[in-house]
Amino acid sequence: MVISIGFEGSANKLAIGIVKDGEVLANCRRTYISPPGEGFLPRETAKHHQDNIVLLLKETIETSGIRLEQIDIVCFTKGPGIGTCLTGVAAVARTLAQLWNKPLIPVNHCIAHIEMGRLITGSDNPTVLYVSGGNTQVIAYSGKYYRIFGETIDIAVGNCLDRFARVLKLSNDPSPGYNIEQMAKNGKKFLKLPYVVKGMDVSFSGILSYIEEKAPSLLSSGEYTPEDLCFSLQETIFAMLIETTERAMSHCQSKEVLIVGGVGCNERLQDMMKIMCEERNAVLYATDERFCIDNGVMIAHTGALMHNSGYKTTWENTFCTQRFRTDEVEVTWRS
Amino acid sequence: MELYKQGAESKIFTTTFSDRKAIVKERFSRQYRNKALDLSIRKERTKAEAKAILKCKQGGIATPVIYSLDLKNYIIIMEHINGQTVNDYLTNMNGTLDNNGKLTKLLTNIGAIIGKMHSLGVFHGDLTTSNVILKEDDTLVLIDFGLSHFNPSIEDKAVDLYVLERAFVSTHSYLSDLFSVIIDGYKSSYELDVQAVVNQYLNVRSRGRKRQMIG
Repeated sequence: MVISIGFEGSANKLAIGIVKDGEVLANCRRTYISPPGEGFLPRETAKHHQDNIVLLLKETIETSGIRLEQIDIVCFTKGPGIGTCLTGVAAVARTLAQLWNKPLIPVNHCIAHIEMGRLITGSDNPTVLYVSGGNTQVIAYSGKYYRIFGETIDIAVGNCLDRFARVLKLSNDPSPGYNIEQMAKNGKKFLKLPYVVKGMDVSFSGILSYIEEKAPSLLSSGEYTPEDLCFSLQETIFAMLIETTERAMSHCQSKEVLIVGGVGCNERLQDMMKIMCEERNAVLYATDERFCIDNGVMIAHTGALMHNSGYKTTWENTFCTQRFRTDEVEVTWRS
Repeated sequence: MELYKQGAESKIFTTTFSDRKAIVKERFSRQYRNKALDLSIRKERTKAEAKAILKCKQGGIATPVIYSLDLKNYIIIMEHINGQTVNDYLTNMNGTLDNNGKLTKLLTNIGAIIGKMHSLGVFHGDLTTSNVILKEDDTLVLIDFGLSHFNPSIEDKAVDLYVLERAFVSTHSYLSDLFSVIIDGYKSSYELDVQAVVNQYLNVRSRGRKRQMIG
């Protein structure tokens, strides 16, 4: 039995979680929210994490109801993510591991999302759609690696939504994507946007430039409402994601889909995926914001899986890296 | 009509057309998509597929014969190709060693056909090992031209090769060293500036997000 604590702070969420053999004991999070019309900047986000991490750690320990000495391993996000944010959080994890004299496990953020999704939904071997502010990948497991079938060739889908939210000056609280989702519910008139699928890959930057350029005149002439534009953008880019996921499923003859990552809590995306799955007798697995959005539990859980499969690392290898691809990690805990 | 296969955007039925074995490819309405988007995607792709198949056939590349085209219902009826997809072929081989250079020959031929297609000015857009059929007499037939268009740029051609590589490596990881054989085949039949395409392909390859950057 392993009690694992996980530290996550690769983007604008700072999160700590404690997990005991797949059972979630605590899942605490603080989000850095930038003013409307602005994105979060590395320096300010890192400052937010540094200011909050000790308080959040206390809160997490209290919520979990365990004593410090019961913790067996300390896990943290090695990457990918924003450099300054990663290193600040890693410094705390490294200090605690030394202080408590426990093994320190560096975890790949993307892999953690997948493992958390598998744990919560109980899906066995799904095709994974991983969608967030920094990542957009269609993933399937084969021969000890999570292989990337399709991905964005430029910006991530969440980044595309976030940046459009800035054009409309939507609030970043709780997240720009959430506010776009709410606006889109009242959209009616569909604006035809570029639809960019290249094999299994997708591209969003052209769509974003297109709608950014057109939006001011479309809105001022009254031809389209902001709600219509949110609706059109969501419908177009989500259709691209569903299509590439389905291509991967068709190629690997898979009957399960798992959606993970922050954009994965968008209910319209989940609905569309569900319809697609029903049309081909497949099953959709999705989670809610507690586990879709970056969290510490996923880091703790994945670290525990690595630890249980015999993973050990040297102190020199507990560094962070901004570039750390999903397909670089050998999955020692799956057959 | 019997449902043969359901892909990401179409249903394939088997049937007969004037006593010949045929398949019906229907780009059916996807309920998850917005109606206007759905109609435009289905129309554009049905047209693109028919045009590209015709152009390839005129240029001497094996593609299915089109028997009938129905643009109102987004249906193409075409020749049924007897054979297995290269994906199935490689999967069934399941890591066994290359017997008598048969595999090398197959991969060289795949590369050569793509080179020829690009020389004709056709961009496929969805080149995977599932979209090349190997007939019993070893002829390779290209299918699924829904994402194709004409007059591809150097970038487009490079993307075709890259998409193929990705599909190849992700399903047949044990063969990943062999992709260079496909590129060799491509070089042998591409009539324009091969080096430009190969250089661009290396560029596209290095572009994926969060790759290690050295230097």
